[in-house]
Amino acid sequence: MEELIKRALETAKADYLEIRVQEGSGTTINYTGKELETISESDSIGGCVRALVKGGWGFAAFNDIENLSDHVLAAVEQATMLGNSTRPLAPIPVTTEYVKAKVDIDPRGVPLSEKHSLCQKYNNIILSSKLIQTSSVRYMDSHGVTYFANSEGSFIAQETIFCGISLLAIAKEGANVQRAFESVGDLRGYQNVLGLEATCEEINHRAVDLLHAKSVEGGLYTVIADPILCGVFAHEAFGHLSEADFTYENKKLLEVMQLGKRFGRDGLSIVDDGTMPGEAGTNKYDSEGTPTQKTYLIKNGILTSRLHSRETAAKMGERPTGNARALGYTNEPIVRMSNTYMEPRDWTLERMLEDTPDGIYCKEALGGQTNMEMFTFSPAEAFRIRNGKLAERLRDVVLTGNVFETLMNIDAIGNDLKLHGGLGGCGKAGQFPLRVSDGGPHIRIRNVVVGGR
Amino acid sequence: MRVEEKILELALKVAEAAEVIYEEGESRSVSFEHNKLKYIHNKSIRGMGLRIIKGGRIGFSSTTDLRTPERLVEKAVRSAQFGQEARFEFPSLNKFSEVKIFDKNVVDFPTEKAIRLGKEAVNKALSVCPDYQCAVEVGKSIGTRHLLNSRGLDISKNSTFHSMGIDIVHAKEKGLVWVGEGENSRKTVDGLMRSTEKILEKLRLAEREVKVNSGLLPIIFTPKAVGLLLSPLEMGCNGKLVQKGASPLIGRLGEKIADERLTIYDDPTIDFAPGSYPLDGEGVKARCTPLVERGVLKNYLFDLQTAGMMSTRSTGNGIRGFSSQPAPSCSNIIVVPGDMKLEDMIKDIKHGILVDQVLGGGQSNTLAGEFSVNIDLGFLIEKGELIGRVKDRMIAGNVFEAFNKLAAIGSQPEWYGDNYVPALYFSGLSVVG
Repeated sequence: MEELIKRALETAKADYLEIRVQEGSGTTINYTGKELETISESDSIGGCVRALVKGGWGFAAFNDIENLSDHVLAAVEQATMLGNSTRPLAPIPVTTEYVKAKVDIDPRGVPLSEKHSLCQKYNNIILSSKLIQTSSVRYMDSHGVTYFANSEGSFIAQETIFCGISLLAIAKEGANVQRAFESVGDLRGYQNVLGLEATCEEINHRAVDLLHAKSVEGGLYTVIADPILCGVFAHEAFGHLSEADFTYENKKLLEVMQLGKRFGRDGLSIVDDGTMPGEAGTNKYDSEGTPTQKTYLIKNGILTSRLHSRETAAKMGERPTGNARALGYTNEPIVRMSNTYMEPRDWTLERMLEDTPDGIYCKEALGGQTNMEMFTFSPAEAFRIRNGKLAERLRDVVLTGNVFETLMNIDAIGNDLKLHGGLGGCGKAGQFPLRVSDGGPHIRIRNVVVGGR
Repeated sequence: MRVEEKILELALKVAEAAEVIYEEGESRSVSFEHNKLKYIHNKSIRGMGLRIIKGGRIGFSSTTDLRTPERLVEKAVRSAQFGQEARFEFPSLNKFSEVKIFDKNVVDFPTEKAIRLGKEAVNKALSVCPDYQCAVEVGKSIGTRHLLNSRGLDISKNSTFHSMGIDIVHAKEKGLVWVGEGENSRKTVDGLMRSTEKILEKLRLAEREVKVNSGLLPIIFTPKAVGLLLSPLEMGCNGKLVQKGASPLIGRLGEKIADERLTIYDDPTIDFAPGSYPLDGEGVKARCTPLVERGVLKNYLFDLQTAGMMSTRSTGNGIRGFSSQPAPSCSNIIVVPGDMKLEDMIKDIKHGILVDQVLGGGQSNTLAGEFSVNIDLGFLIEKGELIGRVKDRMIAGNVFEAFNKLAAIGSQPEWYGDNYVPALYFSGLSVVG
């Protein structure tokens, strides 16, 4: 493969040229209700070429690796059609490396029958209550090697092993339908998906409990968010704003996102770190061959840096951060987060609750969305806080707000940092789902708009 | 012999029935970012899926690596050890609907023209306000799908797809506005300038920001925003969710579930519509299926296996790509228009909101019909006039209840994605914030 790729790089001239080839295989198992909907192993091979000519990018993706040289020519030709200026790329070291994946148990060594029995066992636990109408257990593993080479002389092969499972219980009583959901998924290995019996029981109970939970009354609340929801907030509400491809050619946004500006109280720090072993967003090198790193986005309340590709870094006179990631061989690298979290401080959850006479405690997230200014999140679980204690369970809670105001409104940060990956991932510019981990400690946010009826 | 035929032959040596789907496609897109021409993407993608029935059970595998067909068969066989009991037979008849899904003009659409149209749209936007940030994408694709099975079905169809879309972001001192519009079809589209003008008009209206108090207000959803309200119905009519017992519409066929003026079809047989197809992903002829007729729930949508389990027939909605097995899904959703123009709806409202874009759709309990979304782009209506942009407000309710509180259905449907829908005007929905 190395020979084939290096030869193809010499086929045509461009200001910059890179080739990625991805070989992989994977397993999918999906139980929905009583039925095993999918059990399938699949193979894939594909590649892409990206060429930069006088500031224009040409990109070609394909499955016929044998014709790699033709695709190099095509990408250069497309780039030439656009090029009429320059587009500098920030320098990175020339690297040759083979990065092996490290996992506890390699899922490729586990027989399909064993993976199937595991899913069946979990599914049976979820379905064991009469009020559970249906379930979903989705197991996924994948093994891949991505070869990267560029015209500057780098050649990097990175092996990735991902393994995860998602568990869903749907309870129904008349027209009232409620869901409870949990998932794990990252680069740690097969061990990750074992021993989740108690989790299956928990979501079974939660879905049933939700049937009788009260709908929340809309309004302004003090919210305590658990580590997972805090992570979703750090990622969705703030993280996307620090992706430099959004701001680098926009003066107004640059003013909003000016480094050195205050974004939160002193204790607030948000970090993106692509180097954390085992986490879902980890890679030694990004899809442009830049080494990943730990980047402080906000440090002690002050906007400190942003996430870059080589292109955005050059444009803004900053350094690449190793955040140019492509979902797969059919996509070009764009600026993405890796593992994003809020740093812990000193509040215990206990004290945070005691200090909150009235509010809502929100756990995990069913979803989150942002338009760069406003965000909405729907926690998977919510409880009313009364007199500093957890009270009744709520449902249909959706949080929304202005990102900047909300960051300022975080007034207590916990000491219990946790990160979470999962089977889903981040979506941007049609590239979904990209594996990422998010996290943080428990946090308290004042004046959050909660939608309800 | 082509590789898909070879795989079918190999599979039949070990299985009693088999189906191969082979897809290949070429797509090209031109994109502008931050007002500048930036990328040309070319994708030539192919892949194959093999579904077998062995020992009465279904097995499946897929690959994009066509060098080793034996591996595909081997993996499908392994999957069949555990697979579901097959409750259907592969269709044997080479029957399909005569719907048009291929347009040679898309194939011939020159890249230079895409570049020119993009430049014109960006220039138009910048002539209104130099601070606007435009992203444009003009894309075309040409695909072939070859479906063949052991009962003699062997159909190959070419299709085309053309799309033009533009997003404009206006960043201001405090916050920003982001409006997107686009058109897509299986024949050539030409509406990039029209989309741009639509956005510019909305950005003009959004210049002024206004406050709205919480409460029950009359709300108009534009055709672009109606999709949010349709997704719970689409899920409720999904045969798979019905079979699982998860749909809130179970056992309600023939029952009135919505205002009697509401009629909704699933229709894959409209010429050149984005979601159209002559036959579904497992060879069942495409047909139009009423979901709701004059407010009465009429049908659920099925693929072969789910229909078999429910002792009914496929509605030709077995939708898939090569890498997955068919599952029931909607094609084009058509909401039959009513008699009120959007302008008249606005005139009719003393104090209410026109909703055009929402944030957070699909996050609430969609299956139960619940929605609770942030009004991403919405305008306050005062005494029949659009006054300015409403921000930081949520709108919440239950779709199935809302469909019974319709004040009027719009008379001018528009295509958004696979939906052909008019504006919907509700007498009272809850606004909070």
